[in-house]
Formats: sequence, C-alpha cells, structure tokens
Amino acid sequence: MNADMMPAAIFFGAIFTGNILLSNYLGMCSFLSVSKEIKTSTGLGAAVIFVMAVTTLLNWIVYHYLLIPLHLEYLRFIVFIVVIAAFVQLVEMIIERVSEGLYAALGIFLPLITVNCAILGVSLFMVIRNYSLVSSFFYGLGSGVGWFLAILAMAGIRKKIAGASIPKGLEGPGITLIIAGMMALAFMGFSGMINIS
Amino acid sequence: MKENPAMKKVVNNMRPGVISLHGFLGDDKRDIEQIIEHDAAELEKLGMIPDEVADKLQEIMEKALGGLGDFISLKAGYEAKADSIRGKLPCPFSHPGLFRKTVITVRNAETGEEFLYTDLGIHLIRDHCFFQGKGSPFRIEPVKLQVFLQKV
Amino acid sequence: MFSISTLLISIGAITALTVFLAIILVVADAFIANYGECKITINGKKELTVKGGRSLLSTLMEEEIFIPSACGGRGSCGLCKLRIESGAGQYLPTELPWISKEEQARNVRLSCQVKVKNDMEILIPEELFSVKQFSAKVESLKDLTYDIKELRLKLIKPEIIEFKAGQFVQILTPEYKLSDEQVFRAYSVSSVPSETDVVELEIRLVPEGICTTWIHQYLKEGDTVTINGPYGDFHLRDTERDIVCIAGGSGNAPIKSILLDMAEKGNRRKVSYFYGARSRRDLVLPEEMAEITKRLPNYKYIPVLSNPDEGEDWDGETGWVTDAVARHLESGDNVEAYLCGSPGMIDACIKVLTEKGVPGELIFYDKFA
Repeated sequence: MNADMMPAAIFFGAIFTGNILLSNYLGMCSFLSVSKEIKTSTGLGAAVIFVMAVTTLLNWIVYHYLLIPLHLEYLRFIVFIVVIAAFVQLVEMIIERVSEGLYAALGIFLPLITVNCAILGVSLFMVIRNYSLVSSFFYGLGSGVGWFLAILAMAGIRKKIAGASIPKGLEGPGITLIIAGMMALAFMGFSGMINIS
Repeated sequence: MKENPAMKKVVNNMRPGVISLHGFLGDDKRDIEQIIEHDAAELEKLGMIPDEVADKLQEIMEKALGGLGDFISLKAGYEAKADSIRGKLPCPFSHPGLFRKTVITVRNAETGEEFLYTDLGIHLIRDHCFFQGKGSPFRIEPVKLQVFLQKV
Repeated sequence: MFSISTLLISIGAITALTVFLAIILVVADAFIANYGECKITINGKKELTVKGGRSLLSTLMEEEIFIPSACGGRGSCGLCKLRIESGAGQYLPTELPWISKEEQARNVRLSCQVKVKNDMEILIPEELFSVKQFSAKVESLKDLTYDIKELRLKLIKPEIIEFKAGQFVQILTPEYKLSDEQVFRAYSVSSVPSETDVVELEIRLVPEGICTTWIHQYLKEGDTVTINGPYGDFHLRDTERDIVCIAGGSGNAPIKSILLDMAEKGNRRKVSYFYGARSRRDLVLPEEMAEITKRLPNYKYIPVLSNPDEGEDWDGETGWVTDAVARHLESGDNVEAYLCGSPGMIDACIKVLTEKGVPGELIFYDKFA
C-alpha cells in the first residue's frame, strides 16, 4: 500500500493492472446485460466514468470529514450508497434540464448505475488503500475508464461472435462470462507494469 | 440480472396489447435474443437468409393484394389472401417507419394447412431475423416456411 | 462494545446526512426541475399559459388541443408531428428516426418527445382546433354483416360534435381482458353531420385487432367509451362535377355519411356508388344504401360481387369492382371520385379512373393507412 503513489500511476494502474471489472469482477450484471451493442455500451461506459470519478471524490470528503471525526467508519457502506444514489439523482435532474440530447444518450443509464457494485467498490477500495483526495479522484476516473474499456471490448467481441454457432446451453450470459474470464487472463499480462494494490 | 434499458423497451413493446393484441412473443419462455439466435441458426441450417425469405414473402403479398381481398391461387395447391386494415403499426424494435396492416392468409386446400403473416412480420424477418415467439399468431416456423417457399 | 453514545451518534449522523441530501434533492427538484410557467403561441394567434416540464403533446392535450397520436406518447408511432418555430431546442435521438431532412428544415418535431421548458411558438393545422375529446354511451351495437358491426354512440360530454361527412374519429380502447394497454384506433363516421349528438361507426372485425376485438366481443350497449375527433380531409368537394364513389369492406361508412348529407342538403349532382364485396352476405346495408335514391334523385347504387355463392339469385354486377367501374363509366372528363378501402383496391381504382380521364387531383381517397 502506497499512499503517496503518483496519481498518474494510480490512474493507469486502475485501467490496466487493477481493472475493477476484470480483476475484481465488480459491476458484472450491467456489464453482461448491456454489452450486446457497442452504442449502448459506450453510453453506459461514459456514464460510469463520470459517476465513478465524482462519487469517489465526494465519498472521500464524506469519509474523511464526517465519518472519521465521528468514529463512524463502520457506517461507510450505507453512507457511500446514500451519497451515490443522491448524486445520481441530482445529475439526472441537471442533465435533463441542460441538454435533452445528452439526457437521451446518457440519462437512461444513470438509474442502472445507482446500484452498480463497481461504483461502491471503488469508494471502498479508496478507503482500504488509504488514498489521498487527488489520488482517489484519479483512482475513480481510472477505474471508470477501465470499466468503459472492458465493456467496449466485450461489445466488440460479442458483435464478432454474433454469427458463430455456440453450444445451446452456453448462449447468452454463459459464453459472455467465459469471454470475460479470458479477457481477465489477458489483462493479467499487464500486472507487472504498475502495482497499485 | 439488470436489463439493458433499450432491450427492456423492446420487450415491453412486444407485450400483448401494446402494439398488437396478442403481442409478438406468444407463450415463449425464452428471451428475444434466444428466439432470434435459435431461429437464425435453424435458417442457416436450412440454407436460407432472412433477406431472401422476406423478398419471397413480399412477392407473394404483392400478388395476393391483387386479389382485392379474395383468395388467389399460387402453385402446388396453395392459395393466398390479403386483408388490408386501416392504420399502421410501428416496429417493436423502434425501427424507424410505420408498417401497413396487411394480413396475408396462406392456405393449402389439399392439406388444410394454414398460416398468417403480415407486413410488419416481413420487416421483422428481414431486419431483425425475428420470426416471433412460439404461440404468437403470426409466427411461422422456418422449416414450414422453407417447404412452402420451395413449392411456390 | 457499543456504548449508547456511539449508537446515538451513528443514528444522528446518518439521519443528518440523509436529511441533508434529501433537502438538496427537494430544493433541486423545486429549482432545476421546475420550469415555471411557459407561454405557447399557436399559429401566431392563440396564446396559452401552461406549466412547463411535461411533453408538448400532453400539455396540449390538457389544454384540449388533440394532436393525433396512435401510441399515446411513447415515441413509437411518429404521428404527433407539428412545426415548432422556436423554443424546442435540438432534435433528440428519439425523434430523428421519424423526421426526414426536409421536415428538419421546416422545424417539424415529434410533440410527444419535445418537453415544454420555455416559451414556444408552434404551428398546428387549423382543423385540429375543432378536435375534441368526447365521452359517449353505446346506444346500439348491431350486426350489419357477419363481420361488420354498426356502433352508435350517443355523446355525453361535450354533447355536440361538428364534423364534415367523410371524416373519422379515434376510439380509445381501454384495458380489457385481452390487453392491459390503452390504444387509439381510427374509424370513419357513417352518420350525418346534422345528427350532432350521435357518432355512428361501421366496424369490421379484424383478426387479432386490439380495438375491433374489444368492440365486437366485449363492448355492450350502455357502456361508456371515449372518442376524439374529427380528423381527416376526406370530404365532399364543392364542385359541379359528377361523382363516382367506390368502396369495399368497412369503406362504406364515410360514403354513407357523404350520401346522406347530400340527400339532406338537396344536392342534385349525379352520383354513382360502386360497392365491391365477395358475396351477398358481405354487402353492408344493401337495402338502405339502395333506398337513398328516393331522397337523392340522381343517385345510383351499384353493388358488385366478385364471388357470388352458387345458387344465389344475383342479377347485379359481378367481377372486380374496378371492371364494373370501367363498364359503367363512359368518360371521366366531368367526374370527381371518392374512394375508401384497402390500398390494393384504391390503387387499382385510381388506375382505372385515370385511364377513363378522371384528373388525378380530383380522385380523393381514404386509404386504410
């Protein structure tokens, strides 16, 4: 654990070596169900990047200035979820007001994100790894980009295999999980590059 | 598993009463993707492609429309009739455009075999490779379709 | 391990945090999601002051301006188009599939997708102002043929409808045993405009039809239904030309309305009405349609059977309705035509009529489309 690690290293580490999806297998459910099309994957991925980066920041502030002084660290699970949910609601409202186009492209995915375990996971890891405020932000951002990358890659692969004949029992989620496993193995190849955990 | 919001809308559009009375899924328990994948594989086995099937069904529809609501004879004892109904229907996949409500009844006087298909059904086959769920009144089994299309 | 004070602090902190977030959301809702009062200017004349934040379609509906829409605002039918001169913002991805390039240049939008967020200027066809929503009671429901029913609706509120003979209304099919969604479906009015408190429709049972199944099998006399209308520009043009009407199936309805209206007004133009059906049992109100001649002196009713049952004593026309038109019509030079039926029939009729010399712009039709 290295609290002084460079934010840039954390950022790239979160994308490649410690990809939240492929190394921790978090955020699986929306990953499996939305990765059927590249267009929807891009929309959801962008929303994840944004929400992850900002909620990690918010949760860091809440954790360090509210929970630690009151010695309520054990409440972080519930507090983080509440903060994420409120933030997503607020963002949805603002996007709808500001740009209908953006709302149609991103807004419909926001409710899916409220309960995405990857978002909560990133906030919890940030606490465990004792990141600073800046590092946390870059960790959140990097994790989001990593998740985006993973779902985009999966959507591309699924498009490629759409015409392939797959054993009946493996159609749909089955083959997707196997592919995700292979992708995880491939990402393990990055592990020597940067070590963040 | 959380559903893709876009797919959720499609599933909702296919429910009975949203676009058509009995919906598009019949009593099929599989999800839309499974139905499509399964039928696509079967079609491939039969050596047909959706475009070709749709073209032929379209051709028969044009012929049947010439009958102004009466049965016209096709080859091999088959007859077809077109009923036009007021209004247009959207595609449940939210594909642009509206489809005329033309119901084609195909029957074979000798065997008593009968099936139905529609304007929208042709589009679903052509652009979505979707033959509709089992139990839907407008589903045509690819195997049956092949027999019919080869004879006429 | 926990002391009471830790417990109280926990509860207090969580409560404070959630209350704080809730207040932020409530305040945001009041400020960000509150679009205040907006002014909608229609056709540069009429001004409405409405509460913002909802779709233009439902906002207008609340103001009793009904834009035709078959899907009820789900953005899946593409019917509720209108022109928005200002105040609509950019095109949404949900609209674009329905709007062509030319329409984009004219600011045509889907009113169910555009939200009212600020003052707007919109253009609506004038005739839509007379479109109203009515509640009505089923006065009678009887069989005209084995698959066509006549539905007579007595208007309850508003009590009076103003329409032109030939126009259509939409019926709201409520949730019923076979369908748990509301849909609108359109049917031509067969009664005369002078009967202002009644709307009569001829409805053919459509296999798998949401609305017709409901009307044929579930609707009973005395039930209340919701309709809106009138819509459409299929109506008699005021000229001196001879009139040829051609219909098939439930296409009888608007023609019946037009003929009865002419009879009432003492119109002396020459009218021939060709009605194509399969066999005698498919003819809609043959006696009544023939008897109109007593009140409309220059009127001739020509039913045409394509497939009369064997042993039926039928001495009228047989064959395709288009062939009968070709036989009866000598020259189309002084003729205008009114057609109502399936697209196939209408296309075939247009062909015959143009060959006879009827000018294309004087062939009016209500295609079932």
